[in-house]
Amino acid sequence: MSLRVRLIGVAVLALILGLLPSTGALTQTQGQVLTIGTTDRITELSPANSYDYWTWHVFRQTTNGLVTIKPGTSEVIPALAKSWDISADGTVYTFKLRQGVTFTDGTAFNCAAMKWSIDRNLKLNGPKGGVYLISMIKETKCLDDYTLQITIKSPDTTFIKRLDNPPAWAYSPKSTPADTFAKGKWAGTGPYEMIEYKPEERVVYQAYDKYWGCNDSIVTAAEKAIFCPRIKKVIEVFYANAAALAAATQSGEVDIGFRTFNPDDIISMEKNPNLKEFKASSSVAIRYLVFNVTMAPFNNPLVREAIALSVDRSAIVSKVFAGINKPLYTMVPPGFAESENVFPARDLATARELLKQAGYTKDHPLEITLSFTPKHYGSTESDVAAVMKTSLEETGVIKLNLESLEWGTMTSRMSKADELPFFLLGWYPDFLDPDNFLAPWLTESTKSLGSFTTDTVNVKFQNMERTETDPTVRALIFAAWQGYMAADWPWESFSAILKAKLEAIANMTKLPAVKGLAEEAINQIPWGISSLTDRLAKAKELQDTVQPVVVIPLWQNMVQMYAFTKPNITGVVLDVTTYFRDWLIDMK
Amino acid sequence: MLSKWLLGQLHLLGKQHLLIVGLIIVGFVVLTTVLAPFIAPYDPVNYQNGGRLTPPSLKHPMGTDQLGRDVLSRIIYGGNIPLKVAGIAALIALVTGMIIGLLSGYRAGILDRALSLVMDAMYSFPGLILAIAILATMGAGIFGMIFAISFVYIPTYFRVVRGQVLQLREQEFVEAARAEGASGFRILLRHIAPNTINSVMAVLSFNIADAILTEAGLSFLGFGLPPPAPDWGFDISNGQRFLLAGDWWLITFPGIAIILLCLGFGMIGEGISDMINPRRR
Amino acid sequence: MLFILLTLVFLILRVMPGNPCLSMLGGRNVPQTVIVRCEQKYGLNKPLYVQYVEYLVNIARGNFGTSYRTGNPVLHDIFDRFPATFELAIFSMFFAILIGMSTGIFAATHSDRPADHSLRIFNIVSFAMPIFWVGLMAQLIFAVDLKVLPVGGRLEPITAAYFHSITGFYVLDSILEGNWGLLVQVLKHLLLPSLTLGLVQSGFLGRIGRASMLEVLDKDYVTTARSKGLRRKTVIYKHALKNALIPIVTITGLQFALLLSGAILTETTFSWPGLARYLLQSINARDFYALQGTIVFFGIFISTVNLVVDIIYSFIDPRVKY
Repeated sequence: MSLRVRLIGVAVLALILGLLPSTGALTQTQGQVLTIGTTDRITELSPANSYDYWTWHVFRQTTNGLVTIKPGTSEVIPALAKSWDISADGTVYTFKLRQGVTFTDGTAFNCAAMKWSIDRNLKLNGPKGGVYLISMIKETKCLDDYTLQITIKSPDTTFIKRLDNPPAWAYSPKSTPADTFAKGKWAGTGPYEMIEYKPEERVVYQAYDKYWGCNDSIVTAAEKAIFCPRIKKVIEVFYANAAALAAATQSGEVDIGFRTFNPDDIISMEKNPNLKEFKASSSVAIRYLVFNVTMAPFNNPLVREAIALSVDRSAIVSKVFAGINKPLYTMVPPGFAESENVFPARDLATARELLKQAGYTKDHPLEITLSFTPKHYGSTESDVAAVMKTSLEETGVIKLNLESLEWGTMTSRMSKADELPFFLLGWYPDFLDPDNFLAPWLTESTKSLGSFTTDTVNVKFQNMERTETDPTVRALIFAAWQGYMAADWPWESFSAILKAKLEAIANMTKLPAVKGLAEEAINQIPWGISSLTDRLAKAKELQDTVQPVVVIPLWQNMVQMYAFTKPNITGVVLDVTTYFRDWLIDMK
Repeated sequence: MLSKWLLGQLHLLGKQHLLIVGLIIVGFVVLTTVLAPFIAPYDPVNYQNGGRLTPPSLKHPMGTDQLGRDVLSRIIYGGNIPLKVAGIAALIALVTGMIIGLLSGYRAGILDRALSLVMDAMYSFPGLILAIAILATMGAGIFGMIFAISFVYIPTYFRVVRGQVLQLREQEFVEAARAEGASGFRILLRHIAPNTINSVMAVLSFNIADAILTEAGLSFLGFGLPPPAPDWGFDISNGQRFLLAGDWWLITFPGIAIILLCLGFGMIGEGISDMINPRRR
Repeated sequence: MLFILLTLVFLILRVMPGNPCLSMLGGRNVPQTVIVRCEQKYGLNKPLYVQYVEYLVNIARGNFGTSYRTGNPVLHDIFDRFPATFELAIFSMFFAILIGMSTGIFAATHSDRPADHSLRIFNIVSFAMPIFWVGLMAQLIFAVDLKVLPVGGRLEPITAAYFHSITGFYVLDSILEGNWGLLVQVLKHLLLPSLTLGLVQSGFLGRIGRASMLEVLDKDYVTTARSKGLRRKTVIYKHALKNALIPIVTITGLQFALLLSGAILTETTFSWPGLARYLLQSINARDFYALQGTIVFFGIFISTVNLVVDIIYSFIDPRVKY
């Protein structure tokens, strides 16, 4: 047999195999099954020791918390709690729990179980987990079988929102280990029960037939619509990469493809008449640059401000993301009423001027290194780095080197005091409040998130905002805080606006503590700078206490907010929470 | 001695189509890579304000990538890293493998047995997996790749050289030199080493081809230089993202470049083998 | 040889700069106490020679540690994924031998004629092709353009969710179950990856096949056989082929090592849920025990294959005695 014959043979074999109907014997459809494809992964199925999107997604499908966010809104609504009261001083929360709820292992849900779950997670507090989100809890107490009282250390307007996270949800004391991380051993209250998990391959859920959310004697019709699952069986399939996910979505291998597509695949799928598109109008997933403000040359605010003026957000968005993502000019993403575009538009001339003042010219360029992680944020990350290089080098004064680090290396190095001076990071909020888009880098986790800022003005803004109860004043505080951290140029006009805002806060607030803080901030910020030389001198003088531009927001990640489905799919809700609620999805 | 060897080679070269074609191909690729700054039509790293993902056209004969960079320019520059990594790694492996092989084969005894065992073990291990394990500890990058690849190929040279030495050391002219009282080192260097050159050269050129493939594989898997440095293997993995959209040019051309270069080295290796072993033709 | 391989793996992995514990925990705030506890747990704070002895003892006991990423014992994960790799390897080997041997022998028997030259070029080309590139081109043609074969994976996801494998070898499973629809699906998924891997391997086999066939054809007994008036084909297939096979069997062990190298790239290209992909995922996740365990397993596997090849060799070539 000659080679040609053989090759033809192989080709024919390929064609025959290709044309044969392959599912024939397999489509013994066991009722309706929903399949969802993703490129995300599950890390460790432990509520107290994991903190990533899909792992928390699994808990979200399989258990509930006291409260949740109403789909399509950012409104907090009752879940396992029927209602709640907050004491006058804002530190004692009393929850009335629903009766008749059971865990998927049959155990009855009551105050003891809820208290057990929260206490358990607080006690375990794993290093990779998000238990710190509820670490302000001082005490949990059962007033009776269905009344839970939670006392927090100090008043915190963000607390109720923080309860909609796996560390604060309900887990059956019978099936969940008390003293060790769950690692896949847990039972929740539904709507689904996880019946199979094969790492890197799939998760399979079966609806819990005694789920409280479908029980008319427990919930109202409106609540049933929010909680009761439509499809009894759901399979989530993990694809190796965005290309494979797009292929599976387009070929109909899965009913829904979600997180994360390549921007170009999104554009081609939008043109596909056999696919239905669901997308959110805004996203709370943001991307930004971080400076370690203690490391040279980034301890010079002029350098940071110059970089803020040189980054080319529109090139990133159009070149790398085919226009799908949106440029971002503040850390608090649009979608929040408090969001204000405070960072300056690209201005290379001013950037050059600032750099010249800082001592950098064409002949003595500023040579810096940007660190990025090539896989964690998807394959587009290296393109972002490439665009960063071109756009900063367009100043003619900056020479940018790129350093690619594995995610683990990056996270461990960025939290060391003098290792990573300048890097690309992403953020997805712990809870839906502007506080969570400013405090982490500026006050709360300055070390672990790598900024190492010691700016005390930020602490004043944070204390103002967390104490203030009047939403109008609170919004003003956030506006001033955002403005302060962006330090737009020219300094003169920028500082006039900021000062006016701080004075307005001091006048409007009814709380003496807030007024005091605002006045302290006014005294601390160096006003009245009229020239670049002034700015440089002042910046050096106040290097350790006044540090604007610690982070530079770059874009709002919309790519992860697209789902493509078969035409018969309804009920996919993609809102500002970014939650994916399998139970709301139906197929005709 | 060397000139005689060269003359003999040149004479044989006349009949060697494979070798000549191989040399031409390799010369062409090396030349374009060296002259890249002069012949590449565009900047391979910084994007221009052009269309992204445009198919091949007169302006961009191999199309543009997702940032609007010219694929042809990236390919012209992209040979740099594979050639450097593969070339340096193969040379390191050659020198190390040859020294160990000469010593081992000549000295014989326990040293030989121990070295052969270690080298056989290394040789039997899947090369790419060994390289990946090394890179997992050393971290990605050009030095990691050179080290990993040269480590992997040491046994190849060791085996060839040792085999030759075992044959040669029993031959008359070596015996004669020994009888004249030449030192072991001198015999190795003057009489044995030169006679292993032919077969080592054949191995070298196959080996470089293989090393280029390994380099491409490693950078395809993300162990290479960080982007945006142009590199064929990385550019293919980059093009994979746009496969479904049908943007075939991103994958096709860097792949052809790799094949061309490896083909060149493969032909040279084949040609040299034919010269050494004319009967096989 | 196994012992040397294991030592080699130990040396490579334990000179790793950095702290495996820190990268394993790689979370937000890792307190020093947690790192110390983790080091104690994995025994990474002990002197290297103690670690080495423990490492060998653990391997001898079949204790490969626990993967922190999947939470399973590493050996469990390995056995879970190995059949996928092995199935791929077997089918690739089949294609490699089919293509390599036939082209090699054909070239040898048509030595120095156009067919020989073009086949030799074909062999060099297939040897020169980056395997992942071949895979991507195959996907481009058969999955994206012609849409006749799947892009990747072992099964369609819905099928996979209902299908509970008995042996881990899906081809075998579907035959055992008599489920022909499944068999077709399995083969459809298997075809492109194994053909890709096989094609690239075939170049090497083709070269060796040609060389050893040429050598045998020159031998006296072949000439004698020819002179006795036996038909050319009979001589080639009855007498020469059998002897030419000997060096080919010898390199099969080596070929398997090459195959596993290729499998890493093939599994990545085709999202094949095998051991090679597990290795890469372990490296990316800095899953130390999984990484170490997989490499050790590859070492053991290769040693076994070589042993089996040696035994087979002794059967084919009676001169070799063990």
